[in-house]
Amino acid sequence: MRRLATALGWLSATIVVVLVATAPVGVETQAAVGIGVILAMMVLRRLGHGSVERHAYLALGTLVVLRYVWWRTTETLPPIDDPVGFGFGLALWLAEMFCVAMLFVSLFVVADPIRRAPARRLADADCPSVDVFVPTYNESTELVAATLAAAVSMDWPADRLKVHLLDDGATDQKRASPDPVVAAAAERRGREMRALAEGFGAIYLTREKNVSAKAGNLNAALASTSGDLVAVFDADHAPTREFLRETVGHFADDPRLFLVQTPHFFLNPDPIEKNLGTFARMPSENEMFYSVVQCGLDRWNAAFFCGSAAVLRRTALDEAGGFSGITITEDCETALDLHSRGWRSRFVDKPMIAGLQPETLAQFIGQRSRWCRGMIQILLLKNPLLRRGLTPAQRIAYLSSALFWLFPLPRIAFIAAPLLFVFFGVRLYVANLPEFFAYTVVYMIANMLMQNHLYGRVRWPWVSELYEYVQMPWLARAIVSVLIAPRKPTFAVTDKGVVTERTRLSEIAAPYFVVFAVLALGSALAFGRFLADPETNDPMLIAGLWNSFNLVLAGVGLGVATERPERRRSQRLGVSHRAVLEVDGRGLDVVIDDISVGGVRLRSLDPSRPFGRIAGATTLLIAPGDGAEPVRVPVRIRRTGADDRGAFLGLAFGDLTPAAHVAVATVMFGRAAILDGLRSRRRIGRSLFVGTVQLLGWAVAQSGRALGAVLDGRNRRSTAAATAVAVPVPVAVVTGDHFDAAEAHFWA
Amino acid sequence: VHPTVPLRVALPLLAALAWTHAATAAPTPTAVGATPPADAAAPAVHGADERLSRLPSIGREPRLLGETDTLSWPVFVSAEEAAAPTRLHLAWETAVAVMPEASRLTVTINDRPIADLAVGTGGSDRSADLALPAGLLEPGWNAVRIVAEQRHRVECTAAATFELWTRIDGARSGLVFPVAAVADRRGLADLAGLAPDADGRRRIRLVSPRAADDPAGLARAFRLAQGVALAGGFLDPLVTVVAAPGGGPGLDVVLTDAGRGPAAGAAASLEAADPTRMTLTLPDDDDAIDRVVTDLTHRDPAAFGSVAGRALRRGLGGVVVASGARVSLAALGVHTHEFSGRLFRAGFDVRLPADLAAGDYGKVSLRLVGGYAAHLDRSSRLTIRVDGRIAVGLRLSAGDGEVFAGRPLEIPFSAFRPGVNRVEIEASVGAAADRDCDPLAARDAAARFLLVDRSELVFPTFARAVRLPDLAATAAGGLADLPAEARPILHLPRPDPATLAAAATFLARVAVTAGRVQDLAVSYRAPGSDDRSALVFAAAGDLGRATLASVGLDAGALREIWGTTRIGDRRIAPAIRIASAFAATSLPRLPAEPATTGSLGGETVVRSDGADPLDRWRRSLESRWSPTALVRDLGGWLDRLFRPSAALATDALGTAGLHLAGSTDLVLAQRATAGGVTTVITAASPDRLLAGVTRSTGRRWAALEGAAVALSGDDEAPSVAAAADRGTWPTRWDPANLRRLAAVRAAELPLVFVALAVLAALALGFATARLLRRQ
Repeated sequence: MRRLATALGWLSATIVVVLVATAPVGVETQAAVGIGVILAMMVLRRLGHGSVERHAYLALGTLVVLRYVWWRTTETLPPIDDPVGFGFGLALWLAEMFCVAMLFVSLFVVADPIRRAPARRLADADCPSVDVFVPTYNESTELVAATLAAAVSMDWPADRLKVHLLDDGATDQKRASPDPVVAAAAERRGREMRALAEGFGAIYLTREKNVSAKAGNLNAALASTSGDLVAVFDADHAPTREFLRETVGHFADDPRLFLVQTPHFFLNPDPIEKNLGTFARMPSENEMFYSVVQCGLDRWNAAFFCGSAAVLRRTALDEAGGFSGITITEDCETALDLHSRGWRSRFVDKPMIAGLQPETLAQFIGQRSRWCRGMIQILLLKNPLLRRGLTPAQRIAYLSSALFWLFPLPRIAFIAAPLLFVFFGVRLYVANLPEFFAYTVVYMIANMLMQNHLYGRVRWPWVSELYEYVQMPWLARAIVSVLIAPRKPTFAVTDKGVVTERTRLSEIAAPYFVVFAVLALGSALAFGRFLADPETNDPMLIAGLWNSFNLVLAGVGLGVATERPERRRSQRLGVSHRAVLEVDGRGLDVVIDDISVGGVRLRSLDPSRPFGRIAGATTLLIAPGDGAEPVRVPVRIRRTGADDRGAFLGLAFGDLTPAAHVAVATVMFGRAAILDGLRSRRRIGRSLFVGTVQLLGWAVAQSGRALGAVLDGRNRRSTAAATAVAVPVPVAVVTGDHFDAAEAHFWA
Repeated sequence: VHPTVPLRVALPLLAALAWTHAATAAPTPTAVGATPPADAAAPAVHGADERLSRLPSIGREPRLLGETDTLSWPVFVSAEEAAAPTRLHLAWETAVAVMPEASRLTVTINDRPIADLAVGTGGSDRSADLALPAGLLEPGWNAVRIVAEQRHRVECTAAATFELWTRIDGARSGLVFPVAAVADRRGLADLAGLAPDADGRRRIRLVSPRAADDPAGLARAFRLAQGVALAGGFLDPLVTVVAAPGGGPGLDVVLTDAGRGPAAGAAASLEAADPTRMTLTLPDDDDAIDRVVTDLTHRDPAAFGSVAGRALRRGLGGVVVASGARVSLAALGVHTHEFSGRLFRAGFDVRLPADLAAGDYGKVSLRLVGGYAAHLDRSSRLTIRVDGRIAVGLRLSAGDGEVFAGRPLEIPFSAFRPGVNRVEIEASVGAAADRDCDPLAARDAAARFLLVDRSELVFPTFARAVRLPDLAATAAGGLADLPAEARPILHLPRPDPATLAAAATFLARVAVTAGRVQDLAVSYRAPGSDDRSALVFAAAGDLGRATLASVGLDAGALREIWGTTRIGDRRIAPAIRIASAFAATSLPRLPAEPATTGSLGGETVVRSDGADPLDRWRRSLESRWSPTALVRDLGGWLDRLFRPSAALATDALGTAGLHLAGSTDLVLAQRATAGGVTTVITAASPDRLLAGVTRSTGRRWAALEGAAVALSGDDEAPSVAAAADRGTWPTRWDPANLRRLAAVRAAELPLVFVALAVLAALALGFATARLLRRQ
């Protein structure tokens, strides 16, 4: 009864808002409404951040958006007797309406995000048995070793934890390859991996044929294991010690739960962050997805599997016949299948794996292209609207995740529209200057304010637009290829841990330069024409302003396509852990300042014994946990130095035994709080104004850097000398037991 | 009696009387008295066995202005006349500035070219006698059209084109029929053939001896006069109430006591005493009159005639435009024109419903078909004016010229008003050749501007409500559209002949604009405080201070301009009956024919807003993008945003801004009161009231708008007071109409709308938060 009254109240409020939004008032009144509503939004934002304030804020923005949509639809389409203008105008309108629809879908998805309470702690006797799957295909031994070390050192009763290395790089099919080089490499890899796995007490698994890619690999492992739960970690995703403690408890709460997903957290910047130099300050791109969207999806029981850093229930997988493998995004597809069978999912927003992401723009685009094609495949082959067994909310949720990947199409429309007018005089948006400001600009401001309110902590203004722009040229092709042949795409493993030697143009930079040049010409032409006759050239001014916004994005895009040098293979993580360095057979108390899978940096705890005289190879004693027996880790001195906190010593690891690996992993991944701290340190939102100013700054600096690289590339052909550029990037670190604060650095 | 007084100087009444008197006796060439002595070749208007049927009034002076202009008359011809050999006689006078070699008048009848006349040397009277081919005229309505193409003798500027004019002498122009071709007029349809006076206006004399005692009788006589005007297609008839049939051209409507009327069975009988006079006789009772009125108004008035003639008849007083209509320029009377001059002007009237609530909920889209030549001056532009105000403009300065194939020009619908709206299309197309100015080259100059009559006006769906005070809506019949409880009673506190004539003439003009009879009850007393709605016609001296104040008029101010000490002194008293006033057969004195000045000023309605010349200059000199212009635009916007709400709080006077002067002839003022609306139409004396109403219902009809208007002589701009706050009486109650009305209201009170919008969104936010609250 009460719910009915609430629903009726909501319905009548919605009707009133729709009536107001479609009231046919003139442009002056619209300007008053637009400014009034935006002022109200600003006031409301200062008043508070409760649920009521949040929804009132979004409703205000929605009103402005709806007014724009109504006006845009009823007033601005070109007349049908101008077929060229009408055709392009309709395409642009469709693109805009798609974006508005996506806005409303995402408003629904993130209407009420869930912050899950910590999972119930299970007594050891109640702990279910867990099979950990680490699928690998071509990752380096070093990477896999780190992940296995972290996996075996997870906090879980040893008799209920089995770690499996699922090697798809050494299947029977590969080892029997007609190409003797391939066959030999597979044979060698198989031996190496088996030895590695056995060293960690993990189980090595491989299969006959490389069918169904990762899904097939996981399914093969399912068949030969029997644990209650399955945890999946990509080979470059090392879990923290408490991963299972924080997730498995949820399965005890809900017998129909098939999935607990956790966020992916990366220790290295993606190429956009790297090339813009924002890694340490700006929230990572995927944080919007994990910390807002997945939490929102969780509200509608629609959080989905992201391929790694998740725990699944075997009975649920068995019921569905294992992991689904029709599309190349097997993870989302599996979740969709299980949700439609009535299973439930949860999302725990706590970063508990440390992973790597692609470092060059080309790799990044390759990875996104796979996601894009896979999600479009889901749309085409397993459309959530038509799928039986899903709730309406789940349908909308999956649809939003899949449709998101169509963003390159509207993005192309927004870039093409002003150019069509400037170059060819196609009138595809019928509006005068007052209308443009009163409707379009007001709508854009309201839209950005809403986005900033929803995602502001995890996404700076205009960054979404930048990522979309950068992916646009390539993902548009991907979409077209999937639409032509929905079943054709195959799984390609994303390369990670690749080294960039020096500043250079990305191998896929050409389109960005072409688009930039065309946009620059368009803006020059538009403003030139406007200034020639400002009285009558309103449309040129509109087109010029619009095109210049695209030009700004394209300018930043140039910088993204200009790769900065990245020489580090393994990222350092700031920690604070006591250890003992053996010097001349005597132990020296030290603290580990930062650590990577390749080495550590130490400071002495005994001021009377400086590092000065140490040289050559030696041993570091690390205790993997309180009171545990120290493990001997072979190290080589790489450099000594001093900073404002005193002298330090840089060491590289020698060949690590499995035990040493585990010790290193314990130091690195012993505490998830370290990752959480890193993440929250970057979570400082930017206002729309600051974000806009910053975007303009980037546009100038980055396009300059890109043009510099072009010139530099020419010079370099004659000189061939390489210079390394050091970019120190401070990041946050959570303190160890004995220190109040520690500072760590990533070096390039 | 005064056959030798030149028409253009004489009082039109006297001239008319002279002509008709002569015509009824023995029409001779001298009787017309104005045959141009300078042009000996021109024949007399008509011979002894012929008679002239003048061209009727079309609501504007019959003057062709500027480089190109068109005059069109719907002319009614009886079957006998159509069959007879007929001539079209035209007499005109041309401005001195007009270049004879390059200036022509093209005459068409029913879209068939009849003659292409040289306008002749300026400054002299000219005439032409055009024999019409047999069978050209059709029984019923025919279209007579004159298109002028005029060029200046010595100047090639756009401004100089305002010196170009050719005036058609209405009194001496028309169709000339043989006397023998007189119709045996019997049917009511033949009312349309009623001869106009020298001004082109038709006279209706209501012969009703009992009207002085019987307000109800007067009310039905008024209804009958309106029905006659509607059926006959009389745009601006002069209606008088007399005791006995009068002389001169016109229609005597004789209301007889029941029994003494027409033969049993017939409701009315129509007789033609002579070619210029008709008599309609019918019994003076509600039944008979209502039957005749129904008969008059329920037939298609334009059922017979040529296609062009019927279209013109239908569009007389403005083409009726329905909600959501698409109307081509051709249908609006504008024809395709390839123009080689400097300033192209074309205009047309559209008639919108009286219960139109115009506002920015829609736009009127002009889908322009046409184009312009290459290399015009940079200042070349197309300007669309609605009711004298610039509504939208378009540069015509692209170096390569342009061709428009339906290019939309959006006119804000708020630029329109209920009733008649004048839309003008003006293309100023200067070119380099104008600076050399070889007037002779103008004869075969290349075309610069093309307007194709396939161009269309697309109107939005109308919001329907009577919104008063608004004299434009009142002139279009808004009072009769009010719901019964708010419909006013016509108050005539002193029912003397002049006041009655003023009221009858006004109502007839309203009826023709509205296209239907205005059925208002009549009272011979001043409105009392318990009268919700009133329409008052009276000399200012006959009005109480309270009545004047009820429409925002200040008795003191009126006394000051009119010097009548009695204004406002009158107490509300029972109606005074002045039976003796009806005894005389003399017609009330009618105003003199307006002086001809040769300027355009008399045609253009200048409004009180934006009239500050300094302001206009500033705007014309400044770039739109200059900081001062931007700041002023912003200031204007803020003012429009905040003022209505402030005005609502202070209840500003409706007549603020009304400028009264000694020359003010007529004041019309209106105000919405609780549940009703009061309208006062007043002047210094009953005669001046009649003179003012006569003028305002003629060529100044479009001047009526806003909450109050003060009209002076024809050459002076009327002063208009805008309505501060209007009452709204919806005439449709469907949700779509209410939505549009709400939008009109929202635009009037923008801040209230903003507050409502914010509150609605906040309510939605609150409701959403509740809806999503987890149990």
